Amino acid sequence: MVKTSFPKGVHPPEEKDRTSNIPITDLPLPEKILIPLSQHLGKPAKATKGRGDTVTVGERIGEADGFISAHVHSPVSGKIKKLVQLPLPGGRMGEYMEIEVDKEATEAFSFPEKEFDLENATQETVAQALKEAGIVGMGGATFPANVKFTPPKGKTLDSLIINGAECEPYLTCDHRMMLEHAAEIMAAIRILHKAYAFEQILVGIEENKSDAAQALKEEADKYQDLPIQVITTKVKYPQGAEKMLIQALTGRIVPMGKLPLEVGAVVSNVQTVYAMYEAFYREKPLIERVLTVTGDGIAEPKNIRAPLGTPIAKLYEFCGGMKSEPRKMIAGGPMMGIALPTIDYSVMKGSSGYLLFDRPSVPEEGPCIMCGRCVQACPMNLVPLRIAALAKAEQYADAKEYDATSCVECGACAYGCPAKIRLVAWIRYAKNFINIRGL
Amino acid sequence: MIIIQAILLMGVLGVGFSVFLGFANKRFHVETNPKVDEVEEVLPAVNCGGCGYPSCAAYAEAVAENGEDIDLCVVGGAETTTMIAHVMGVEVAGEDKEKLVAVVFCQGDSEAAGFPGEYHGILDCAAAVYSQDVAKRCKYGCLGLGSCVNACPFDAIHLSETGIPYVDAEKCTACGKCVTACPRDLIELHPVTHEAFVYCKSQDPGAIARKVCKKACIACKICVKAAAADDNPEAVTMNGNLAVVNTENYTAKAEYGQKCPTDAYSSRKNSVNYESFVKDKPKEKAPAGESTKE
Repeated sequence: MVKTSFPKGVHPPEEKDRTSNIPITDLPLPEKILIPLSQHLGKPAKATKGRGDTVTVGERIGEADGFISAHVHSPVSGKIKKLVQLPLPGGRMGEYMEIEVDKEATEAFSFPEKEFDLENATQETVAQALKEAGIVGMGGATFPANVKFTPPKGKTLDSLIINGAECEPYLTCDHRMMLEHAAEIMAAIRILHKAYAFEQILVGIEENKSDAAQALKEEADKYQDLPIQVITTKVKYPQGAEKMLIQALTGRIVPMGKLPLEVGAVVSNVQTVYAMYEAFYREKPLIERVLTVTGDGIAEPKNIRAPLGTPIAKLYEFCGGMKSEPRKMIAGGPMMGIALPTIDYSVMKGSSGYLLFDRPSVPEEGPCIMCGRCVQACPMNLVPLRIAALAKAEQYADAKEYDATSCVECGACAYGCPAKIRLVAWIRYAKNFINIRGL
Repeated sequence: MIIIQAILLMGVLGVGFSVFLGFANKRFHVETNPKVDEVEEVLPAVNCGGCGYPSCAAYAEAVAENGEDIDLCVVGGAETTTMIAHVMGVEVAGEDKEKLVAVVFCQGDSEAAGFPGEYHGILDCAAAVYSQDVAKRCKYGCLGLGSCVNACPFDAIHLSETGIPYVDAEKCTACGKCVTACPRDLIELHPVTHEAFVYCKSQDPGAIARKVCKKACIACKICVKAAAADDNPEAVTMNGNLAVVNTENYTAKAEYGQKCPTDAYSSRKNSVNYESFVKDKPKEKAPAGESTKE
């Protein structure tokens, strides 16, 4: 096996052994769900159902509003109680649909297996199926998958990259998915290959998940016609960032400010691929996902398959509750996740995990000593300390000169900073200021 | 011997350079208008930018060279205007300009609309908004991180204990630094004599506004009706889900807000911002309170 990687990066403690050996368990149906209509990058979906309407499992409740947007489907059968405005993780307000769950009807419902018309799979039918199922990138960026798989005219996708790196510490949901659903993932890859005729299909998995790599390899061997290769990479953060993974696996470098499309690559997370399998073979839209609930503050950390819209409180209940008074809660991984102020949030398409800590970890910001560790860490080859200083001085034009907008917000710089400067926050400030004010 | 040589050498060099410098001074002399320096002398030299020029020197030059209006210095006020008039040898034209002060259009302090959790991010409003969409429960409201306080060159704006800025009307010179510093556009400049405002900028529908903040305008229109009943319908109008006091003629009276269910419409003296101001200066007794009324 070849061990590849990208230059730079950091090595945070993995902390994955809490849950990496625990099989995925289904969450018992909650009594009610609160499903946001904005679970993806781009414009929020438009509600197609209103208060008092009854819905069944998989029925569309929100319609994609524009090109970069995604459908939202009901994960349960039941009655819509109301539409409410509540904060989304990150602070903005968004529309949520509260659905009272009809337990019997939901449990009775199932998506029968269908034979997918493999011979006639084309790029159009695949993109259409992805759109209908409301599939978005489930690694966290939540970019609509059908857009990703619709290359603009004149561009071709020659490399499919399956992202099983899961470089974020603590999270193990993708690891478990690869172990338990290797066959399904391969079946979906086969359809994608049929439609797009990729020159190479590369599965990138970090070394610490060699059992998952082995499982996928065994499955891959069954399909001799696929140009597939399972590659183990070094354990390094952010190995799973799109651009870093492309560089590690293919050696191609995505130009600054451009999409992976530019180098003919398309990257999909393993969970996204599994959702594609369900969409292709069972016509099941994206209505549930696997996530990791872990951290020092959780009694029994678990990998859970939960319907979208499940209130987080239900997840904690299922995991035996909190050990002590929680001091910090993060949606997503510890490196890129968002700290949540309350537990009044719901599982979304991009929620890869919830971490609960019983100690706050907010050290004081110290002065920059120009040690350059952030420069050594930045996988995008930026100069974080300089951009942060320019943001502090409100010199956005200069920050733009330093390519602040190319920052992928992976957090490697802030992780390594001995002065604990909130580098990502400052860079994001400059970045968003430039984007919003149109500098 | 060496000492004498050194002294001679240095002496010759010194004389040579002084002659050269004296010549250069005469030869390359640049004529400047002495009025520029004189005007700059009487300006407050805080470089606040309230006049529209980047610095006091730039304004002085504009006055002396280009005949710019002499009453633009908001910091110095009438006194400075008279002094500039004296320097420039002109009469003070027109009546005195009305004193403006910064008004903070939010009463959502931590008691009325706190943060939903603990905030440990960057302590700067603009950075908080642009880096994370951080907000109290109300997405239009003041964040209370004090960007306006840091921006004020006159120490006229402070944060109250409950995290809402209040303006010391006596110190405020209406330079407008806080207006541009606020990422939520909550600060405006208005005449110090005008009392009544709707201290809210929330465009949320009433039900939501009420839920997120106890002091939000819930668009009940009581103040609009009161204004209409007083035969002054233009004084308070609705802008979406928000009642707005007419700031062109300033005819709204404080009485219109008597029935306001959330006290969003209130007089300057009754607003949270003013209360904090008084609370902050308990030792100075009444005069501190009186002074803001002018």
